[in-house]
Amino acid sequence: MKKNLLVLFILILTVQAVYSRQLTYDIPDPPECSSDSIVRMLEGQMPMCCPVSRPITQIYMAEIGGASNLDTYLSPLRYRGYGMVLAGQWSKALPWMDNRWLMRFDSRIGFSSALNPARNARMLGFDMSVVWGPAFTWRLPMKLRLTAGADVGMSAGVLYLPRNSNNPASVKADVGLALTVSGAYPFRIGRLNILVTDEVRLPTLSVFFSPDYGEPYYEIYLGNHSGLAHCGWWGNHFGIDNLLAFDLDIGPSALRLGYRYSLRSSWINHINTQIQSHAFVIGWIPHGIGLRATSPSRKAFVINSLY
Amino acid sequence: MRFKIYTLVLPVFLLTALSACHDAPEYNNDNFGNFDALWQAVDDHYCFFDEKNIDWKEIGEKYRGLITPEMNSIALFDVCAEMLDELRDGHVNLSASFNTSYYRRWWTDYPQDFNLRTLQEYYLKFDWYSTGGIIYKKLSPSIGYIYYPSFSSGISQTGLDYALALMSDCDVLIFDIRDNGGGLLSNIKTLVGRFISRDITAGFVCHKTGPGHNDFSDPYRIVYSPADADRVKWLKPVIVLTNRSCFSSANDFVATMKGLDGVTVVGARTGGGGGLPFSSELPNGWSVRFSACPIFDRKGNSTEAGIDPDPGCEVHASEGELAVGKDAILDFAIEFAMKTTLLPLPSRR
Repeated sequence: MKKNLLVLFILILTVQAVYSRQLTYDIPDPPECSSDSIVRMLEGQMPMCCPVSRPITQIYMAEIGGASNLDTYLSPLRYRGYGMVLAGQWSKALPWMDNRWLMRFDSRIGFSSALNPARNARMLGFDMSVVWGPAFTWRLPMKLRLTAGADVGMSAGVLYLPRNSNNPASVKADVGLALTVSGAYPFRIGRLNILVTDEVRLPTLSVFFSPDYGEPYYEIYLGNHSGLAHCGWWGNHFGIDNLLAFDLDIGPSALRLGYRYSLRSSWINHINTQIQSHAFVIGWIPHGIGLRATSPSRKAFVINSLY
Repeated sequence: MRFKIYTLVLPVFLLTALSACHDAPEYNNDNFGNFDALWQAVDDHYCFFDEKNIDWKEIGEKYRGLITPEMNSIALFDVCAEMLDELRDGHVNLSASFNTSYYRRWWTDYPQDFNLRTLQEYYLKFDWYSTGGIIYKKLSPSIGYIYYPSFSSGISQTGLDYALALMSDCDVLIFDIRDNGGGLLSNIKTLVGRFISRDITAGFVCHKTGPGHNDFSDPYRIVYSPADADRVKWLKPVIVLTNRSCFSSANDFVATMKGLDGVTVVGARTGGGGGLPFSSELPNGWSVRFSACPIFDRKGNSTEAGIDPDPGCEVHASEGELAVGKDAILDFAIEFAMKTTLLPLPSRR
């Protein structure tokens, strides 16, 4: 099972990478653009004077940090330890409403290992998720860029506590809608272009899985599937994901350094679940973040989705 | 107007978000904190309070009075274990690094009715087939015998095929599960599937829907199906041998088999254990296990107190007889088989 999930994840990464290369480089030779016209084009005051490239911005991230897992189906105690995540993010500007729309696809796969307060039992966690959605962009004064949108996503995972008898695992799964908002601000330190971004994702409406208070998975295995799916909203299934990232424009690509806070909580059937993580993020953006000045001799006008 | 909308939406968001993030229970890692965590875990999840007429609150007060801040871990463990013994449940254990408590009176207060050595020496003559957790042999040309000592041992489907195929020309199968303390419920399904030709209701299971002592779901019907068509089945008479040490999954197996056409239960009342156990833990790292999901037989009766043999088939094997090579329960089963099928007596020695 784990092997199949890993293969699926690698497949998604590969497809996205191939797709991105095709869109990035398949551009006809255009006439030159002036820097003045670029600003006016961005603001929708004049039509595009040259072919436009909307490359897919790829970001690959590794995250490691502290994890805190509470699931009262397994134990009344909070387990603390570490977590690791591999994540990919692909985004692209769309040619609608003066290029103010962008589309984004995220996928991540994570693992956590945590100990109980007495440090004599270990809880293992595994999860993966995929998310897709559009967002709308506002270019504000002071070079600020604000993005707001929504996405649909699904996630699945499990917390596993080997010491337990007939309640050794707690499966997590949901499908739902989320709101997203992000702000970006570029600045320079010396000759280094830096883009600081804060992204917040707020799962809002969902359908999620939970067994009943004391329902064994054996009963589910026997065929009792009633009452396992629940409608989720902020009152019973709250989560938030916040990423503060600094993208450093280095050479043709960019380096991402950041911090991510993630919370998934639910209160259903008297089962209290709180899965939190604080993680350091390091990432690689193969084609950069698009902060360098556009050269007049450049053959295409590039609209980057990151900024 | 926009200001008013924001002032409405923000508090609603914060309140609803907070309602999903319930506080986790907090217990101090001291003697009282650990005792309270244990009492609460059992109070929330244990499923036989009413059936056994247990006043858990009173029991908690009684034993909490024995706790002192100064007592060491072993003394605390002993008090907690004594409190758990009040549940009179073999599925209840408290586990620490230095000890695991068991309530043993469900079997120590009863005769054993079985001696493995006697079986192996005088009936199997130290000569039997063994595969995937079962041992089997033809006791006579007409009587097949299978001994399954633990439901924790996985059963090989292929092994079962060989065992039942070997006995295909027998008329009666004696299926002995004495001293079987239980194990995996899924093994019941594997075994029962060989003895039925259509779907059967094996019993019912329900679970707690909340921390209240009577918060239970509706019973869910447990249905077992026949083994795949290419598997060897046994649809001739079966005699199931039991003793008091048949517990948990073994108890459930007897509850399922009893009442099937052609199945007779011979021996002593089983030990019970008709509650699927869950686990929890204490701040000091001790683990506690307890019955959480009651299992009922096909008539809706609780199986926690054990399953009686069929009328007229209660038999006990005394220690003295077992010591000299006589297994009264197995002898009764052989004679019962012969009466049933009018077969000649097998050669025992």
